[in-house]
Amino acid sequence: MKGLKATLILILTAAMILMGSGLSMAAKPILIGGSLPLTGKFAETAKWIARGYRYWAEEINKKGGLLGRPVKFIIYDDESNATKAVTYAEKAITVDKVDLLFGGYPGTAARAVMPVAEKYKMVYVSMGGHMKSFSQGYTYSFGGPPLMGEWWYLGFMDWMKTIPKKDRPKRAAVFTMNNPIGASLLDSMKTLEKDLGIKIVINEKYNLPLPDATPLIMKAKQMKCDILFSNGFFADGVMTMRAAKALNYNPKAIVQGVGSVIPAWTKELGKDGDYVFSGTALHNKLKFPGNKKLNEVVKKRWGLPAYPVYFGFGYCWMQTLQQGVEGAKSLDQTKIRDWLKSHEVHTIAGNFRFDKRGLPKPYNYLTQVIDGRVELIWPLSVRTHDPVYPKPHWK
Amino acid sequence: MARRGRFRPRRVPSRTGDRNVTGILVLQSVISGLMIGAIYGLLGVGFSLVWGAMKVINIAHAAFAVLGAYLAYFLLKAFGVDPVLGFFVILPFLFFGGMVVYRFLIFPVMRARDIVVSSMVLTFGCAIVIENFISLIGSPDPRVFTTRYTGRAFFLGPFAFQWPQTVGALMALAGMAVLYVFLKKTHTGKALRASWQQPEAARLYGINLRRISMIAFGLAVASAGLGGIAMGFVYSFDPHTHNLWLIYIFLVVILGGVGNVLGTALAGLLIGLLNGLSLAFFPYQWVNVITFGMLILILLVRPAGLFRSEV
Amino acid sequence: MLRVSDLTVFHGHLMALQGLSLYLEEGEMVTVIGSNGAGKSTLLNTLSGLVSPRSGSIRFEEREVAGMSPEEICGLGIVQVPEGRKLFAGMTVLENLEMGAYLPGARRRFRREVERVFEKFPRLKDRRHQVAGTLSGGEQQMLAIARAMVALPRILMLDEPSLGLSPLMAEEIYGVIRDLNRDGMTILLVSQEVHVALAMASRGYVLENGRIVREGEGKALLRDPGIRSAYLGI
Repeated sequence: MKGLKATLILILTAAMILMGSGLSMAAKPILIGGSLPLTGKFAETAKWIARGYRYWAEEINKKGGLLGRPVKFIIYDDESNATKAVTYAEKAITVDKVDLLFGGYPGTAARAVMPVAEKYKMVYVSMGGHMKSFSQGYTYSFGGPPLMGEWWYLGFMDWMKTIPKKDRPKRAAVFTMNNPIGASLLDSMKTLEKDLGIKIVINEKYNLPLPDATPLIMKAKQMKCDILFSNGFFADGVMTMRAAKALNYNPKAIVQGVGSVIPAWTKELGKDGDYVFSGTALHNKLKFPGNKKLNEVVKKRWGLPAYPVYFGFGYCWMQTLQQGVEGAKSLDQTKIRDWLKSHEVHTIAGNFRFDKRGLPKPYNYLTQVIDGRVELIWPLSVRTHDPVYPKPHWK
Repeated sequence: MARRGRFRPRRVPSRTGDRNVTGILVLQSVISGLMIGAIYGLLGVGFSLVWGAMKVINIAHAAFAVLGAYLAYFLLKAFGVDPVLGFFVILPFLFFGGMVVYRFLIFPVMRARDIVVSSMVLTFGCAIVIENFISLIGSPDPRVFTTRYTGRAFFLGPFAFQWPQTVGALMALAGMAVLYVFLKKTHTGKALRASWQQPEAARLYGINLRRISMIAFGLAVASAGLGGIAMGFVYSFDPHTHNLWLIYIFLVVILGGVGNVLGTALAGLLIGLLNGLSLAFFPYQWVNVITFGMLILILLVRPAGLFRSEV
Repeated sequence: MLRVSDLTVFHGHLMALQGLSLYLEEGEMVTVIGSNGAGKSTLLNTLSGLVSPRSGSIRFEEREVAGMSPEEICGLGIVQVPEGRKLFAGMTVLENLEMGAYLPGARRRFRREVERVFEKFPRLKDRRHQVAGTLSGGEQQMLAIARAMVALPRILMLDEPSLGLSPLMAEEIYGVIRDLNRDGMTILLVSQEVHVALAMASRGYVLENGRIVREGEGKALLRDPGIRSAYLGI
């Protein structure tokens, strides 16, 4: 069934390429290939990445193309399977002979494709697979920007430093889901005690799916923890928030790992989802050029108030790759790589300089949900709203 | 229930002695585990029913559960119908929908040489169709029930019971009780058990296997819907959630004995208990090791499941 | 009462019954004997409607039964006690009986019928809440017969009722069958125990490879030298 789907997508893609090449015989298009999980459990997110890619292509083709040539995507469906992502990356490089690679999703797929890109000396701009994937000595891979669990709470930490010590929370309850993402979130709060003087009183992990958050919240309340880190996903985050309300647990701050930045959080939780802090590497409220236009496009085409974060990521990775190609004035992968390593790129997520590993300087934006909207709190330069701290008590 | 549920949570007696904290927490975790376990149990019982009655492994069982949760969510959002009442609204749709699915999808493959495999392929397809159908009419975003008693709890001694979880668990227990009484006490329920124990003899005495299987499938789908709504009180759900739920259904059914309703219900509680205890008691890494270790041991020692495999 | 003519049944490509004809009068006990694989069980299953005949007719009191569903046939009163008993092993004695009286007609008269059956098999009454799988072999066979009795049979067909029973127990079961016949029940008995069956029955048919090769009065067949050498080893 899935095989059939993949075949159909291939045929359609092929048909589109043929039609496209017929229309613009003048310049041979630049082929950009790779795979995304268009079906399977990551399909929803990947769909938005693909839309971001396609919108970028549309925009650049309207302006006369990349290096004067139109761009075309060959997007295979890896069915949310990292092994297939590798196969399709090889196929794109060796069979389709693509000119450029695009970044895959999620981190596991990106991490698996990075060595392939290195082997064939192809520049690979993606989210990467957390810090480990960038410490393997790959030279052609860039996190432009990356999604780094290890940096996740940088924005929060930096902001908390601006709070007078006496007003800071003293005792932290940390509940972390038992998976690699949870582990990297934990990594990002290593300096909580040293830098901020917040003592981690409870540090527990749980398996997904979390059966019930009541015992966790009960423990946090009994241990008098005045800050709660819920290092989990949407589902367990919702459970934690609701248990905190039910037990009338009122810490000074609640920090949610992943999930509070997506629209469902405010839509489904309503007021109960307010005042939760989280991090993000990209946000549609950022002031960097391009964000406003993307929001308008998404509003017009899909009726959403602003672009979903993965639409932005897709677009942003292409911005980085585009600047590398234009900077190098060539499709020579090594030249693109060397240009990217020596120049600053300007994207909707911010301005980045890449180090030897292909990573920008560690950064992360602090967000807080205020009145049902995700606001940017830190760094000060991107702030859209003053933080609400300490968190008001449950009503 | 909702109206009386407007309790102001009383102050939790806060004791600083670490032992008390731990003791209460362990019991609190047991409570939490049993509540979710009851829901796993109900989902497993419905799955078992279909397996027992027609030797069909219904991969779509959890997808029907998610469908039930979505229908209840829709009723809640659009008309403010509480999901408990919502279940009774959607019950006939699920029941007759299940019968239609059986009659036009499952029954035609019942004559295939290998029912187990062909039904797995077929119901896998069903699951994908349901998943895509939900994504299509709703959006694929995660959903949660927000009722008047969401975010409220009542206390029994030092133990907290969140209303939504409690309602979900009670629904699951009621569902299991209804299925049990149906199988044990009603004429049709007995005929169902008879036809899965001795299909040929059942036919000899006038039991129409097609009709009885159709009813069983309808009931299973309805119970899946109930289980899905109960799950919805505890978890958020999205069109893909059924994959996760299915793993637990398998676990519960294998542990409880395929086709064994009472055993499956008990296995659900047991798995919930283990999960609950994992929060408070033993190191988190052990939970899956223990659960699956237990599973392997049981399959080696008692391949028919932990409990006597009688219906 | 029952008239089977020219019945042909296939199992896939194999011919299981070939132009078979037999008849059964009200109140008679008729036996069909034959070795393993001769087609005896196929015959009963065809009469019960579990297997559809390729051709031929089965008339029950002027009504054509061939092609009817097992449900309809059972409702008409052609009831089988299957080979190997096929009890609902996980259900109690009483529940097994309830399932025998599954159809509406039988269900309405269940209370009365079950009392009669319990009179005949007092041991089943004592164990009515016991799970059928835990009964002894003889009790299980009694239950199988009792289950068919509450279905209100007009013709009772028994397939190897003594299979797997001790000689003593088998004798008891045959006694029960004789009693039933004496009380007026029409019986079609299929058995490998040729001697007992022929001695009991008023008439007998000999089935070989799906065909009737001989028929006649039970006692006459018992004296037949061919049958004596082929089935009785004398």
